[in-house]
Amino acid sequence: MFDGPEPIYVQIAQMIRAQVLAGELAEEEQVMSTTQFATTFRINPATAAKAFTGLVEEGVLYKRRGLGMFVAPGARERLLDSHRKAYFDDVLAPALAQADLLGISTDELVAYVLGTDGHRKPGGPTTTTEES
Amino acid sequence: MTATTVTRAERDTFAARVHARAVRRVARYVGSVTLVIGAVFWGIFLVVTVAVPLIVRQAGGVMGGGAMTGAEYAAPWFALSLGTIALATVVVPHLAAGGTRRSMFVGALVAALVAGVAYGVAAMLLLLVERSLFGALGWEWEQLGSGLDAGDAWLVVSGAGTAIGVAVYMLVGMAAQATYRTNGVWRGTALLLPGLALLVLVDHATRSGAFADALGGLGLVGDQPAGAGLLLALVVLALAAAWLWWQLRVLRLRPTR
Amino acid sequence: MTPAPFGARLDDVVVRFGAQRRLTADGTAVKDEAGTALDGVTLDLRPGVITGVLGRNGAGKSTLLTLLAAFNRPTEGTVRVGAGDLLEDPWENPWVTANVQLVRESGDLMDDERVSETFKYYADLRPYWDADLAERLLDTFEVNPRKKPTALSRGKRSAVGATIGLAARAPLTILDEVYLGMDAPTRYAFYDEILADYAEHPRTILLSSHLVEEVERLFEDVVVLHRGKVLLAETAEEMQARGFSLTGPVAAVESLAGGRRELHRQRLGATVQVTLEGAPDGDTAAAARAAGVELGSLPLQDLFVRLTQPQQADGTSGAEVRR
Repeated sequence: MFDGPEPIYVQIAQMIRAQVLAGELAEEEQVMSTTQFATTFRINPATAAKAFTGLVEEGVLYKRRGLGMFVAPGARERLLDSHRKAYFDDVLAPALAQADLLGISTDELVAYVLGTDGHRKPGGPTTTTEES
Repeated sequence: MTATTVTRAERDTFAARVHARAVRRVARYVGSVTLVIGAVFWGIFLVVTVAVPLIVRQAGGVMGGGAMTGAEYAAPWFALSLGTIALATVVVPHLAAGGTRRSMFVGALVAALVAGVAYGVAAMLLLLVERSLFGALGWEWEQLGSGLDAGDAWLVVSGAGTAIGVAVYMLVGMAAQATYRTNGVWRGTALLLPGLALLVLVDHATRSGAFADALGGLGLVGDQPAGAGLLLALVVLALAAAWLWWQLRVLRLRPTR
Repeated sequence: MTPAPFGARLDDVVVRFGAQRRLTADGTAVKDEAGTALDGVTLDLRPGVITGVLGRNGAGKSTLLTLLAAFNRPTEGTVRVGAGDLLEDPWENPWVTANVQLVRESGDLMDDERVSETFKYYADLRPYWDADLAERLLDTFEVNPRKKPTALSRGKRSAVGATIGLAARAPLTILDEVYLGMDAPTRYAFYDEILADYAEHPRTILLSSHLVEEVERLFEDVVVLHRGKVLLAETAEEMQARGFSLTGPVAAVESLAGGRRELHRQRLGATVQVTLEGAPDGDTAAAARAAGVELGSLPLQDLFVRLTQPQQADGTSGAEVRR
């Protein structure tokens, strides 16, 4: 658990974001306390607390005094929004730049996305064109 | 809630409280070891003191002196070994539990004084028992333990001599234990000599014990008035306390690896 | 109320020992060599955090820790321990010593008395002792308090030490290799108890261990000692950022590694894992993903081993730290 190159608190935040995105953590649902986090994953409680602080600033979590941390209303929507934006900036833009470099035409790309080039799609965003 | 600061007054109150608790704890531990095991020691001598004359009488013999002489010779050495063992057991946990060398010393001193008084009283009681037993058997009883010239006050002087002797021996035993821990085997052994000198001095002052016999046998000392003897013994007691503090105050625990 | 956590500051601390023959508890004579255990240590230990104290055998860890608990005092330099602005010399200072609990390996116990007797002693001296916690922990570690320490196995004795360390609730709790002889499940149970109790009762914890991989994530700060000197004292996060690892096909890993200094290399058939100094840049991450190379965090163990190696192949000392 948490073997990535980023600091552990970043990885914890990513994990919680992923859980909210996937709907595993519903809005207004309580998340584990720093203590539970610390003992469950055997990490320093301050590390978990740091992840929580970041998520509160992002509006993913909010603190109820004396009760603990809860998933903020609208958190999933906000995450989806920011991830969508990030998808274009971080994933698609570099891929398109690479395509440009390799001389792949826009038509070819569109055909690939729509599946009209006859290849088997590796799964991706649902398109208006239904395939059997 | 967590306090973030500590005021000077809080600090001082805290320090005084933990010091007093630590002193009491050492005194209780060392004191209870010497009193509980001491009770067994004096119990055995009570039995011997009563039984031996009765057995001798049964065999038709007559005794000149009783078994209490043995007790008076043995008691200080017994206290010395108990002191050595008690300090050896308690000193490291005491420091590890947050006690200071000073609280160790004060507690040990209190325990030694309490043990001295208790052993002194026990000695007095047994002397009385022995004397009345000899009287009942129609024998002549001679008090052999203390050579101090005390007249009618012999009982109290004997008791006081035993009390001070026991306390001094115990303090010296504890000091020897501390010495070995700080100085290791060779220097520790060399540093037994000042302690030994204190034992000789207190024996000499109270005119009792093996060292007093040895000095007397060499013809080096004569009789001494009880008051002067006990006063000298008290001075030796103060020296023994100082000696123990001298050894404890520099006690360091080296890493075990 | 939880008492204020204690911190510490050491300035130019030197500790020298003379050669000495000493008797151990079982009566055998041991020769302690003369030597310099600490050689000019200047160090701040932050209050309220868990700090890892790492170093090879003989690096001076235990000596450093005994100074904080006034088991010993420095030959030169000053040691100050306390809370807030109140920092004092621990030597013969009941305010400091009653607030500092040092547990060495298996704890300092009364050898000839039952464990319960030792605990009563600690309970009387330790102002924040929690007897219920002590009882529960002994139960968890399956130690019978009616036994004498000599009748316990090494692992059980360590568990007794662990129990003292936690139950004392000292504002400065020092655990010096309190794991010897413990099996892995017991050690992990101990780590869990440390974390749970620390979260509940915040205090300063210094933890020294050779099992770096097991404990690195417990640390907020890390101190590495080497030959009596402080090699490194920083947050675990800063230390983590000193390097990263790459795992994947040899050729791909080699090209990604570039000219970075290598801390560790492990080869498994066609796959290789290298630990490198420095931080991966954005390009490395993307290129790694493309090349099927996994980018991982820096195992503290690798950095620690590299830093404290006696001599490097290229002739430079391992003690050289690039900042």
